[in-house]
Amino acid sequence: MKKLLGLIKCDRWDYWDLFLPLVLSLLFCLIFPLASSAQHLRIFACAIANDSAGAFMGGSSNGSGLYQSDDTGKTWKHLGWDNIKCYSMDMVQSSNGRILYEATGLGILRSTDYGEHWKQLTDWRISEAMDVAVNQKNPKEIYIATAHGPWRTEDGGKTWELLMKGLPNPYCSGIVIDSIVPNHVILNARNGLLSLRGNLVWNKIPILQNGSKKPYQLRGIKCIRQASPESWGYAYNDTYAVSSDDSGRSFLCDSINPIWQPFLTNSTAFVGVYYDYVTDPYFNDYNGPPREQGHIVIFSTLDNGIQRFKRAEEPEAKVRLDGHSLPHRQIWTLKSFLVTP
Amino acid sequence: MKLSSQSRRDEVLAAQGGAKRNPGLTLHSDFIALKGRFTVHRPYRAMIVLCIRNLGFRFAPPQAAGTSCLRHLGIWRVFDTIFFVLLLSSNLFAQSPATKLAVLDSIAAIPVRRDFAIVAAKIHLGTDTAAAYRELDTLLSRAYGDMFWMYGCAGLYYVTQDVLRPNYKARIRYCWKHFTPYRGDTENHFLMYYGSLLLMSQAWPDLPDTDWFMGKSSKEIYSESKEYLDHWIDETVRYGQEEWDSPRYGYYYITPLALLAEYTKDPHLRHRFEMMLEYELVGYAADYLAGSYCGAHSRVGDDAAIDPRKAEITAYGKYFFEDSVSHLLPDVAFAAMTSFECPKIICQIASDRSEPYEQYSIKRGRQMLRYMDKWSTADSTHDSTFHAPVYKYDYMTKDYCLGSMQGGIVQPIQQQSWSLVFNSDKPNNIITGLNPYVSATELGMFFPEYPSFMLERITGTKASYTSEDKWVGGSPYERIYQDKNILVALYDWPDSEEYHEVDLFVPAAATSLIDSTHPLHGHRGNDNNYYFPRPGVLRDYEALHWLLYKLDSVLIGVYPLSRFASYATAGGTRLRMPDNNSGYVLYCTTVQDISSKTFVKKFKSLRLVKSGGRILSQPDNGEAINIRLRKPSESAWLFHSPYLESKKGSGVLTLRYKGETRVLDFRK
Repeated sequence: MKKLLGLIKCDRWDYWDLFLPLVLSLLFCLIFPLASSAQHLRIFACAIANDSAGAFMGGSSNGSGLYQSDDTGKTWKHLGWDNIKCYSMDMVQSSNGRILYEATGLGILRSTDYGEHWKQLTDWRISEAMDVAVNQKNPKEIYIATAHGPWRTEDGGKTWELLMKGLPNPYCSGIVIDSIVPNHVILNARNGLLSLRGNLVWNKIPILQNGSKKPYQLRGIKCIRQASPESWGYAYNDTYAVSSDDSGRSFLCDSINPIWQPFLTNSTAFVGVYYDYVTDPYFNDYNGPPREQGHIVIFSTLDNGIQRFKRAEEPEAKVRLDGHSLPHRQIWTLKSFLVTP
Repeated sequence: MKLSSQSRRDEVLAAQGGAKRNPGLTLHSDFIALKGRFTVHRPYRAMIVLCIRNLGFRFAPPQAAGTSCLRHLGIWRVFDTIFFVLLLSSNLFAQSPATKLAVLDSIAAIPVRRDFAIVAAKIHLGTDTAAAYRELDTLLSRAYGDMFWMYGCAGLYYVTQDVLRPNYKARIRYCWKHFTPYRGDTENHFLMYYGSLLLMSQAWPDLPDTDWFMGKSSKEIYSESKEYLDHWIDETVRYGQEEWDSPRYGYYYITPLALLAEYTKDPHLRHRFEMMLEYELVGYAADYLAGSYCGAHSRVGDDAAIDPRKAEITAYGKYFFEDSVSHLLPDVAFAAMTSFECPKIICQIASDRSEPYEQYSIKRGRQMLRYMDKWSTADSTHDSTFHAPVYKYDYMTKDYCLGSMQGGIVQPIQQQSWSLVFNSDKPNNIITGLNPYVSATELGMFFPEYPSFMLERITGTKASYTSEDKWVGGSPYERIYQDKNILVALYDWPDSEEYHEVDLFVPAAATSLIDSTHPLHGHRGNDNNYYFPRPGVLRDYEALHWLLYKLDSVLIGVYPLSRFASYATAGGTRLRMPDNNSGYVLYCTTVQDISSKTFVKKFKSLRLVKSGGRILSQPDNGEAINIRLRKPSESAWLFHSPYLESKKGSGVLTLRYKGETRVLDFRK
């Protein structure tokens, strides 16, 4: 003990000789995790086929599957199954990209190892699953929208329940869970939007245009919530965009933002915007203030892959994002998440 | 032990026939094709083989194994035929071992290509095995991706299991762990997918979930597959098939069912698959007329729509009903490698047309996803799972079959709503008609993708869909009424539709009974300055009158209910009617009932009137034509005819033929 104390009782320089490495090590240990935890955007592209003439509808799914990009779309990596119509996906956000769900032609698949291996969670009853939404506050609760109706599981996919009460037609293509009120679910169905609030009966959400209610077949539905707690969702079709400022109780229909018009054709499967290569309020939840500067339009098509362009540029300046690793595909959905590498 | 090709063939024949073939006997494969209906039934086969063995008789000159004998005509064929005609004086049917071997010989002789059935036939027979294994290398080298690959692979695995090299068995195992085949979205896809999984999970029963591509264990896969197949059988035999009476896809029901009926170990389940195979076959048999699949169809290919014998399923009709190898396609090899033989009663139902009969049946449309109220302008009903009802009716005679469903769209793209099929050797032995309907609504009704985009892109996959000149497809604006040999089709479309016409196909083999100088044919109405609405094609429309034809012994009268133009098309003539609220009336009879001359004389003076919900001929006051335009009513019968009877919901199908009965009872 005395010997140890003697070491400490050395002169000033000796003291630093001893402690400087320790201090540096300590600082390194503190700073490195902070540096490494910087989040970046991971984009997922869901392809239902390639765009060749023979790979369209029905029996063919050549070139389909889930693709992932960690460099804002410059390069893409294929994840999991070949030959599977991948309509959509979701991620358990607390898993940092480890737990993924795929909504596919043969139901729901789950990976618990960043997309290396996948397990089919559903059986013959569920097909043409077109969207999947994980309750981020209770990841065992999962909702799916299928062409034959919406389903829910509360036990991580062991058992599934068909939710048809209140639904006039079974077809639905999108489903989202309110990120603030988890028992509030909105379904993008055949003739518009429906919601669940606590019970398991779907209720029609009015979509108003010039004071009159109209049914719409919408393509996308997003929960954004970034502007205010009341600002809820966003959906669109070829012509219109609808949004809510009363927490999703009603939606107002407006002509679509002119900037998107050049991309909204019959083949446009998805349009989204992300900002500064960092985050993506139109794709997912974003709690910061809206950013307007230099944002980029990114959109996917069913016949021309994924493309993007900066708002300041002319639409003709759009750049294909498929590169060499993602040839032409019918991209049904794009989703992005913030992950920590 | 490596077997020579000939010894392997002997072994195959012995296994199929239950008796070892006489080494001195070379079965003349050409005879098998020649004998046609003089087929060998199971009870007689052993007797024949024994007779031949005891006689030490040599039917034909010895030939190199695996070579076709079709070139050898002459005394041997005549001798063989006479001998067997004498021996088999009764009308006998079944797939004899010799026929099976002839099927395998023929399929194995096809130059190897990417087809599991051809590869399996070669390996099974020991013919050209080096090439077969090379092709198998290719077939197992990458994930081809769908249920068509799966059933072929499962079939090969089972039919060659006693001779397949172990390293290939291991490679197949590897594929089912790592390949990720697509399940598809139609009824035939699901049958192939779950049928294959049932067989393969049975082959490897104790594997954990990590050893299967979808991450489920063998037991889970077997259980799910069994559950689906049971469900499909129950739904089909109680409420009707979705892809009903399909000349194209029936082929893809029969092959997997033949494999399941042979190789499923669970005896109860195997029995259900055997019954289901018979169920599919007898449904086909009742609509079978000398190689042609008659009546309305859920899905038919473009070629077969105007030439029925070109349909894929004809391969199975010839094989099962006629014991013939005259129309082979590769998958018949799978059926020929099983022990299944079509029951005699089904063959008799397929062939006995001595008395005309009517058959009523109920089917289900494909499950609708959207636009459930738009499948027909005359009907918007559907069941609780969004299947439109299909009321099918056939009037079958020895000379022709007139069959139809009520109209509307119940299957996308490939539906054929009615047909008049002739018992004729001539090509294009059919008259059929439609309103060429093309819309995003039809596609959106049955496919989940965006309707407008599908319409934009569909020409890549189904090139004919958007064609004005197509011969397949239903229309929501079509209403069809039939009473025995009379059919009425009425059309009424909105201006918004792309094509405004009704088309009728008349085959080249049908000769007109009214020559062009006949006053009837030359008559034109006041509007003969109207022109055909195709760019660059100018035609006069002809006014209303009967068009009378004869095809072999059948006399046909067609009465367009509007102006029409006729022009040549592949295989025959197209009659095009451009007016809305139009249609046609079709009548058929035979020269046994009325002479051609009398037929012409009688019909040229007839006109048609609509009165009290009926169409009547005048001035004979409805003696020739009198048909009620009545919507089909809900029926209690899934099948109702002299041959077939099944009450809706019962799960029991009774087959009857001349006092003999066979019951397919699917109740558990």
